[in-house]
Amino acid sequence: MVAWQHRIPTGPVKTATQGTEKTINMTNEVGVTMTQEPMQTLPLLFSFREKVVGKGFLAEVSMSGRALLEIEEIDGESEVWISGVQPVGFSGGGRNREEAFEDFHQMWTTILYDLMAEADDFQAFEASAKEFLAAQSPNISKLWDDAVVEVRKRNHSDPGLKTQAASTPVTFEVEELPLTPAANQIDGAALQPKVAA
Amino acid sequence: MGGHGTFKERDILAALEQCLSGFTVRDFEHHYSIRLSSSGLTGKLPHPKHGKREGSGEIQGGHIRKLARLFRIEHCMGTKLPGLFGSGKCPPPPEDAT
Repeated sequence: MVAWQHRIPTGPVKTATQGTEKTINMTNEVGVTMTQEPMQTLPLLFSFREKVVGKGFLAEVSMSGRALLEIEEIDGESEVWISGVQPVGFSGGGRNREEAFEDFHQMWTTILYDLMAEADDFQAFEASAKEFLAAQSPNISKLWDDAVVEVRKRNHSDPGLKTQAASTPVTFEVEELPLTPAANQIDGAALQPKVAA
Repeated sequence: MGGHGTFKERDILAALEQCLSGFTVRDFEHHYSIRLSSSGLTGKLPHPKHGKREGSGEIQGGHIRKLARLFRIEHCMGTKLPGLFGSGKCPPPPEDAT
């Protein structure tokens, strides 16, 4: 299940952009129309949580991470790509942000499935999952930092995305769960809708 | 090059052979894990949805562009996979390239 939980880490929010339009005119919740140039790169914060079944054991992986959303123009066609910053090394794409985020989340999840498929026990999965989740690259992290600076400079905002402090720490956890029906619990946090502020 | 915006798996691996010296690739059920031990970095490419076993499956260019950026081999990959960054486009070599 994908929760549209990623957030732009920046300061106060006023207005928003959509997809690849050149200039955005929109009316906010108090009826004030504003114009804003779209940003081609956005620094995102995301939260994922998935249960992963192994060979006779069950694990839950949760993460608050960082990603970079980029709108690319390739031969006149627009594509949205989201690439991992923490963890680094994977990406997802689509014709719009929702598709790209869905693909990004799916890639994150299937990587965990693949690591689980290779693990003989929980400890082996925990080690490989943590190695994946902790991956960083200074070059990619700098791109994210630069994007945060740009968001702040332009006081960029977005109606579909909440704003959250860029200093929010990256965290991840890999837990073993009892392999019983008690593990079947609806993820209330993931289902909770987010209201743009 | 495959269809619009996609590249054949075998062409991608051939390009990596030329652009990313010393890499190793591990084939998982859903993805390839490409590791460069000297940098400690690992990049992931999803398996193509079709044609994987023949190497003819196609992977979207965006995944390859992000992988190339991670390893800082965008220029080389752009020359080996024409169209990766758009028709007639290729990023310049990194400034610290020798």
